[in-house]
Amino acid sequence: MDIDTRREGTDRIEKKIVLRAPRSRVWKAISDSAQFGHWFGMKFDGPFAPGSKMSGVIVPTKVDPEVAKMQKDVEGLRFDITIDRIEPEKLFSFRWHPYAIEAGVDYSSEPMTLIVFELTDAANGILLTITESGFDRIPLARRAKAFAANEGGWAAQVNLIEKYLEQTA
Amino acid sequence: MSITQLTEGFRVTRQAITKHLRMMEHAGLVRATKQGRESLWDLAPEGLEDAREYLDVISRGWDLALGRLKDFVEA
Repeated sequence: MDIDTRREGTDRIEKKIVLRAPRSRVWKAISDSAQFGHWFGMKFDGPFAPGSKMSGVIVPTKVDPEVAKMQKDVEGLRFDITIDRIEPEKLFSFRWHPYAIEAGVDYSSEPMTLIVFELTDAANGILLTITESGFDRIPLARRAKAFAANEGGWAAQVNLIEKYLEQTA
Repeated sequence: MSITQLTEGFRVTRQAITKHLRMMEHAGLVRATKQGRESLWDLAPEGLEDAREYLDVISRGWDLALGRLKDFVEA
């Protein structure tokens, strides 16, 4: 799978990928909260609408017992997201707390990052550009802590999410 | 480096530079030490390393999510 990644310092990340599907299909997968939740692995409490503050939870899934045991930590975790802009079939953006997966931590007072999905025509499908920016406003302590908690603790969490995503494929 | 040194060669105001430095200080990427009435600014390399690693993790997360999206829309 070809994903073109660009980074600007420590604040912004950009991904480009060509999706071999009609624009309407890609748009629905991104802008319909149920469809977004399906591939992302979350369940939202309503449809996406500009300016709306909503929440999602990591959805339970049928996986093998070993992974299921590991998943207990993240299953049902709540995420707050605020929808920013919706320009039909072109642009969808929202804000959230990046990797807010530490149980028992209240992220609500911390700055959010902005995630933008943009669709443009490509020769053989739709070029999707995703940017996430604003990481430099996230307290470094939060970013550093992600790695400090137990040796390899964060790596294990990422591994867990990876397994989770694979299992829900 | 001092604010005066940092402002040289940039077409931005001293205030703008200071604002950005404070933001980067808050993020742990640079640090200031007082020398008399002036602040001297240094890079905080360990902060940069953490910030880069953090972005690696985020980047990996998006790769996985995009793989799922691709499978979903191309199915």
